[in-house]
Amino acid sequence: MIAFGFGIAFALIAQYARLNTFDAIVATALRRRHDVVQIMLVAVAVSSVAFFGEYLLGGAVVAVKPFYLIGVSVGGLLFGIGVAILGYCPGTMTMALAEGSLDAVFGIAGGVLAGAIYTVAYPAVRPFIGPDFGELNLYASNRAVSAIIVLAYAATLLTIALKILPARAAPRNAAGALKPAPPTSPRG
Amino acid sequence: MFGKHTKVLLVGSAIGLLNVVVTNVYLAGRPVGASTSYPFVAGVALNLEATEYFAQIRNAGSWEFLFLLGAFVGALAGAVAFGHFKLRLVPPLWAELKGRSATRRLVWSLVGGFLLILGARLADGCTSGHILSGGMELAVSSLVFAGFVGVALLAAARRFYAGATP
Repeated sequence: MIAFGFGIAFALIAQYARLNTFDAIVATALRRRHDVVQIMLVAVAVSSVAFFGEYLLGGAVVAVKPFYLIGVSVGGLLFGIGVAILGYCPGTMTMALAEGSLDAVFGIAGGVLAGAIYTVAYPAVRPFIGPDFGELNLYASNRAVSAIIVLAYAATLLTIALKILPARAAPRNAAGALKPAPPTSPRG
Repeated sequence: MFGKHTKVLLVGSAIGLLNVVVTNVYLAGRPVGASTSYPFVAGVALNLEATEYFAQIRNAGSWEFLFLLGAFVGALAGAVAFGHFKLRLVPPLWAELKGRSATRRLVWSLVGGFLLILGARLADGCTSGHILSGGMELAVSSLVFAGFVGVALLAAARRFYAGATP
């Protein structure tokens, strides 16, 4: 019931911001827009600080995924190629289907097929996804040092999202041609 | 209030705070994730429940399946409420870049979905489980994953949609 409820909440935000469409994701991959990346960077920055606070208060446990060198890197490459072609990620695919994008049915079918093959092949694949460096994260053994690391991490992500990305990304029109830079306005 | 960054900051903060709330020990007690749903559905549908891998992912998979069911219902409600609902086989940007053929789009959707979940299973996570949740916890595996996804996404999009982009 909790999982279902959070699913609804996430989907309503994604729908409101239009983050779940093929057009939004592939335009991002083609560097025609950068707001999707900005939103993800802000989400990670805000959550890293809030989660660290929750963790210090005993409200959450750190549940980090193990770092299998080959699995994580090869998996990341395949995943990136998959997102580029499909234009959805595993979560937004169901949301795209819900708003009528029937191509997502085929994406889901491909995903379930991959899930079946991986399940069957797992005993043979497992020896090749390591070495396993364990469940590492960047927290230090000392809480004060960890707090400084978390704040620096969040500040770095926010700087990339709000300063570096807007300055680097060249605005393009719908056909992908470069647009003249819009007039800069002071902002607070 | 924050000038042109208002939407980015509000939506990003809402997603980020929801990611934190879900981890609370009195709520889900685990971060969000989506991609384990796919081998979970495959395992239940194809009777692979006796396998070693299914035993490993059973709990996470059933949670994430319910999460995605909620996402489907929420997106349906949102699509109707915000007026986004539209039945289509070919997304507008795909039509612009690769043409209007529905067959072509559906075949590539199958291929893309396959690569997507194969990659997510090898890496043990996806955009939600690795990049958002792992990023929140400063996980080394997730930061490495995010780097490889970023490189592959930009390079693959550039090649796959070549000709349509300057």
